[in-house]
Amino acid sequence: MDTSQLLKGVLDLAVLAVLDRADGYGYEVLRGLRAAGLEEVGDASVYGTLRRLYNAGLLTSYVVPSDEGPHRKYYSLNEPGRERLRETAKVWRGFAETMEGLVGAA
Amino acid sequence: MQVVDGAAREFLDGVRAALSDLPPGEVDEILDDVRAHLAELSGELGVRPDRAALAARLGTPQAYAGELRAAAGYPPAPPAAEPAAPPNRTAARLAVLGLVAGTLLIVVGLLGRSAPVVLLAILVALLGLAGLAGQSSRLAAVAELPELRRPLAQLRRARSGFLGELQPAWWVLRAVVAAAVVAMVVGSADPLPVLLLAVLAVPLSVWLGRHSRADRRWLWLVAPLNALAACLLVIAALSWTSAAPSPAIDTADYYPGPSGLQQNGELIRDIRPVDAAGNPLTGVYLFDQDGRPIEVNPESCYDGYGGDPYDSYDSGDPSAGAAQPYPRGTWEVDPDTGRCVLVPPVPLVVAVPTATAAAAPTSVPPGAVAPTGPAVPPAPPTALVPAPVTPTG
Repeated sequence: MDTSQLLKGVLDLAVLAVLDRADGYGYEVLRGLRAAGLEEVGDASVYGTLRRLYNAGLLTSYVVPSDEGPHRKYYSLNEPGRERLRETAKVWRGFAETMEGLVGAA
Repeated sequence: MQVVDGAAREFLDGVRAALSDLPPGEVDEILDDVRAHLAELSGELGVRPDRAALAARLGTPQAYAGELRAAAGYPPAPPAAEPAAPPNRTAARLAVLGLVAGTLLIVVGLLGRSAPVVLLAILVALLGLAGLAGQSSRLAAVAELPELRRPLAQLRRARSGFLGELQPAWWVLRAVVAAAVVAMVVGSADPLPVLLLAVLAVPLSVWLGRHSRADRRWLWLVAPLNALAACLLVIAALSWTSAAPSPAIDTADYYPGPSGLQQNGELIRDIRPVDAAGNPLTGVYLFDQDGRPIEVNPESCYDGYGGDPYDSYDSGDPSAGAAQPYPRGTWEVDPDTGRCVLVPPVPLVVAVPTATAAAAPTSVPPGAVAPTGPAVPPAPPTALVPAPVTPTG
């Protein structure tokens, strides 16, 4: 099965989790996800997810000048964002446990 | 903002086209992200990526836009909105023309206080907009007009800079303009109603401003209103600066009245000074509080022969009248000759407010009239260049 199907449901959680570790700009978040093992995550999906979370008021952004090129727009979790991360993580753990129980014997 | 060229620019344009149904502000921000993304990619690849490299990594611009749309939670692209790309440009142009013409007409109508013109203006603007009714994305149709693309881009750039920070100030200013217009239409020019209306209008204007930032459809209303407010503001500033030196009186309603002295609406043609005892005085010079000689009415005696006797004070050298003492006599038309002649001051019997008998009006026998000898005029220099120039007010 294609993990991209699974990813769709949890990309929010993954992005929030990456940003919870450290603020990051779009491409950094993308690299963070890939480095964590989510190789199949699409570039546009990550950028789109960041925009949606930002529009939903879960992220704040600030611009940092960079020596090697364009300014970078950093995203950072705000309080609603952290709250959302906690809730979603809880839901995810319950779901993962359930799934594990379901398929553990397979 | 980094320079993008070649394949990257092509990719960006493709994404922009695929997202053209979204609010322009949102599209701009997305494209900023995409631009940064492409820059990171070319940094990672070490070269400026060509089309094949971009396609291998990101897919087609349309696919990229579709994936981004889905992840960002935007509505799916309207079916076949893009292929029907060259939207009705004539309609878009008419709409813009209608809005511009309508705005200008409203300015004219408001200045001329002509309700029909204002109504006509609104009608023109609405007619223009009606032409776009069939378009799925009317704003995009207008924004895509080639002649508007560059000014719009400049506007966006300006807004993201210093001007953007001034935007709230503009919201307040235009609310005040709106309040003034409403007050003017209602027929009041007092500052108080304007102030009260402004108190109501400012929150509305700010709300509208913030709202139209998020939902660009409001621009149909907000852009013409902004233009209107700006026009009125400029006109008000111009008329204010040009009208500043003159008193703030509507000149049409203001009639200065005849020049010269009046009493109870009647013109005073001569002055007959008397002393405390009621004896007529001659050679009296009269000045006002600022030391200007007081002139009786330079009212002409029209005899048809020209030679207006008062010409000398009326026009010409203003000091000509200054040297004339009172009483002067009056100019009347001689019934015999039909010409203006100077009638010397006739003796008057005046009541002087004193109780003493001495003050009783001195009746001067008719005939013994005339100026009793050459009175010594006050020292001319001090009279003509009155000393009390220091304002005594």
